Amino acid sequence: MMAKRFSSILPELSFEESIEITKIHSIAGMLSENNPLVNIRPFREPHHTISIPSLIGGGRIPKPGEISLAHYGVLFLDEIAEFSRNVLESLRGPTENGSIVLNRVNGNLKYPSKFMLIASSNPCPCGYYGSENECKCTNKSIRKYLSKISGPLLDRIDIQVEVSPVKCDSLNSDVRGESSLIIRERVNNVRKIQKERYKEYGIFSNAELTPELIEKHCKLSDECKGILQKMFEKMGLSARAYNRILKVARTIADMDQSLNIEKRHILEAIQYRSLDKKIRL
Amino acid sequence: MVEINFNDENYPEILKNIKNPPKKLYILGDVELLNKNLIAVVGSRNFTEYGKRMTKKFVKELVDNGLGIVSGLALGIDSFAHIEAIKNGGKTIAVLGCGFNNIYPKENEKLFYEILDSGGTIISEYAPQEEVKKANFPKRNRIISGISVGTIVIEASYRSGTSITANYAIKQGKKVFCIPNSLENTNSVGIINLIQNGALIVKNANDIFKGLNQNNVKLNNKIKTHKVAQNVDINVQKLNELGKEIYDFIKDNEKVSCNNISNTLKLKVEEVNEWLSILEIDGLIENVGGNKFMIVNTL
Repeated sequence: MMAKRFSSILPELSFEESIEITKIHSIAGMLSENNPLVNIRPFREPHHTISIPSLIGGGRIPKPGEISLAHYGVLFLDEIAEFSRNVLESLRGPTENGSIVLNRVNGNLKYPSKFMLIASSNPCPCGYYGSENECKCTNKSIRKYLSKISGPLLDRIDIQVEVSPVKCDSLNSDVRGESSLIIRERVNNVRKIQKERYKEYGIFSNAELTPELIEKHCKLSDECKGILQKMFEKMGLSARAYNRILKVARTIADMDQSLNIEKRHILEAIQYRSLDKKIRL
Repeated sequence: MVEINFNDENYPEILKNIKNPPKKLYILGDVELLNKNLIAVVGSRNFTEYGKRMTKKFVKELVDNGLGIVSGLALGIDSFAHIEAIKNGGKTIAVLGCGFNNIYPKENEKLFYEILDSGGTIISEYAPQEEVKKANFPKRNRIISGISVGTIVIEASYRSGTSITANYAIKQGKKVFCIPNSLENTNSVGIINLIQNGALIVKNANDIFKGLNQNNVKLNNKIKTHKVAQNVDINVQKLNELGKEIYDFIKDNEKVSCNNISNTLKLKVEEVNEWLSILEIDGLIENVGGNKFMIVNTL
């Protein structure tokens, strides 16, 4: 449910983005007569039995796959550990490049694929790991289950959070969370800050930062460096987690409207790498 | 490498008393260690998070009390026993069921050298070129229990190698200590069998020393450990009011998530996350999975 609501907090589509999405959906023959211009961000949710061609695009005359249909929107992979490994690995290139090239005898085609990947998974085969019911899985089986999601793929996921099962009484409770509209307002503000900061590089969000740009825009004080250093030793975070933490910390700092990344931003960002810690077990 | 024969002077005295002692021992590392007070920590290869936590806790307490940790260099609990002993500045001995040239399991080759680097010892009754044979592993378990004053069993399934070690210990007249576990866990079947056959249930190192005392074991050859500084209390004192409040909340409620803390203490999620990181870095709390946190060393 959370993932489905996600596109409602993403920043509004610009006209150019809208046209681009419409073009892809037109190629796929998915436009409806009543609504010929796609003006909401797409949300794609393929089943875990999906094949590689239908995910990245394919056919004799290659049609766009789910990743291209999710262009400028959300690609949601529910139960990511159930997808076949080859299918998941095929996501590596497109997530990095923002496009996919399909080579066929009849010609080569390039489709755009700038999507936000959201994935969910159970923590272990029995599903109870870390919840109030005792998990009966052994370490070996948990490791096997989680190893479906390879390191390089995990590497490309910025935020990893473990959530506990919802309790019955909180389902009935009257407490309401924030509405998507208010959150979207916040997202738009942060987008504006980032767009302004990166206008000379032709990118518009922290997610697209290259290593050189990270060095330039995610400068850390010595105190923050010390914290990260300690964290790496203590919790055995992987080196590849380093840049991810910096990017997330940069975004947290932007939400805080802070010019520099402060200690508290780094400390918060560290908490969003829970799978890194777990997979090492 | 050193070879010691049964009649040699430095052949461990304690090993001479068991039935069917090895005629010859091949030794890498500190030979002296074999005559110190040692205790075996063994457990399942298919361990649970609980078993891992308990291994950490018990090994730390035993090392702090000057005992050397003996185990079998197997995957799972055995590995943790070795690693924790090294981490806490203690000494550890690995007993192999094959020759030194064929380290088994392969995954633990790194650990093999780490044990030696930390001043520990590796022993085997098989010549270095001896190959890995399934039948030799249960046999080496008699050395694990034989060289130790007692055996601690963390997790053991029915008819496992761990149970074999424990049964050797009982036959050798040594105390076996078991750590209680859930009945629903398959790894507790072996434990329950042992308890029914007279093994002691223990909750901390003190219970172990009491049990050894009952068995008239004299611990007069302890290892002098350069104790790794106990800075938990100091770190707790250093916390400010808010940090202390969160720490105490986790302490009082056992396993808590970030959401629990933020809802109950009426704090912002980002504030709580910030403090969770600080407490984790200081080694005061630990993420036990499912984004739940527990105090380190509560028992």
